[in-house]
Amino acid sequence: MARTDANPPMPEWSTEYQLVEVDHEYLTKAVKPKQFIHIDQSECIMCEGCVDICPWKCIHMVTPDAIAEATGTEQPGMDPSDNVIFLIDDDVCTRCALCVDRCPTGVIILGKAGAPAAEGDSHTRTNNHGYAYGMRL
Amino acid sequence: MTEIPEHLLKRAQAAREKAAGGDAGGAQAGGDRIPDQLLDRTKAASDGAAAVVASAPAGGGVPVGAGPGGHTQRLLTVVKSGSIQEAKAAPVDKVHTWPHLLAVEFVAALACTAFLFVFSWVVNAPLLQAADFNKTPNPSKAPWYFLGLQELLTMFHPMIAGVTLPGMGLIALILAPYLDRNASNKPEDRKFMTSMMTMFLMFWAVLTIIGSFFRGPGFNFTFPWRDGIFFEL
Repeated sequence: MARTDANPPMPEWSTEYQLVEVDHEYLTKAVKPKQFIHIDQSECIMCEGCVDICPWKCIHMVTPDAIAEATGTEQPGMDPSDNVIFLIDDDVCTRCALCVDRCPTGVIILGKAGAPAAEGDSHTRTNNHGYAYGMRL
Repeated sequence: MTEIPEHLLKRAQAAREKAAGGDAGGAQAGGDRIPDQLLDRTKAASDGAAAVVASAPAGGGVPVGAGPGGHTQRLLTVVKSGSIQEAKAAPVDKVHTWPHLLAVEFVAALACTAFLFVFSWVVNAPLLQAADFNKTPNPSKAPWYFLGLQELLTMFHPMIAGVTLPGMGLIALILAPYLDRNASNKPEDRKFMTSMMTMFLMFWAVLTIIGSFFRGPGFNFTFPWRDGIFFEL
């Protein structure tokens, strides 16, 4: 298959991920663009709109079984209420934010990586933090 | 394998027990539904405090680009079934039909065409001489793949053998995906359907064999070892 823009090669995915918790410094060092997609699970309806619209197919919804091992963090799937996981290939993602606009419940945000607030990530959209309901702020 | 910390095992065990109890409790569980979700959200907030990378660990920290293909892949989120919509179907790891399936199918079609082209070139299959109604062949047999049907015609009225029975078979084939809801593709889970298909194949094979080798002049029953074989491929 010819490598054209209409038919981008899929990023490689694994079924035996080793999950490791890292800090924001690692992430900003590992990936060039400084913005990162985040999905708030509590309002995700698993419509796969983001998976569908991504021009690079770099978001994937898979079963928690794909993660074979977790170090320093809870293994997804240990808790029986863990339903699906979303993965992203940050090297392929171009930050086009189509998924942010596509998400019907508006739970995908494009924000900067950084140290969390003392009380944890608020998971809210603010004027300088991502998008709100398909509208750029 | 890495040791799973004791408190995580305990938490998963407790959640499992709660899930099992919730099924039995039913209406009782409805009361503390919202607090559950709030708990989940709080937990997600604390879990998401630091970025989580799906990549291979190595001694003394995580190497950059440790994911498949040397990429940095990240766990975006773990969606709980207690989110605002229940999952209708089990999620599967899937790829797109185009080009992953259709390219393969197109190549398969090309290969079949090439095989048929070469096969018909090599194997000679001429037509017989023009039909002479003063000299009709006896027995007059259909091609071998229709001999099961022809054998069926000796047993029933043509309406039954030629229309009703094949029609019922076709309708059963159309209904097969709705009647057989077993999604497993392991033979040991499909005993009923395997036996149904085996019975059909045996039934049809016996009819075809009788029609091919045990029918002589006048389509009367013969034994091939006594009267010879009345069969042409």
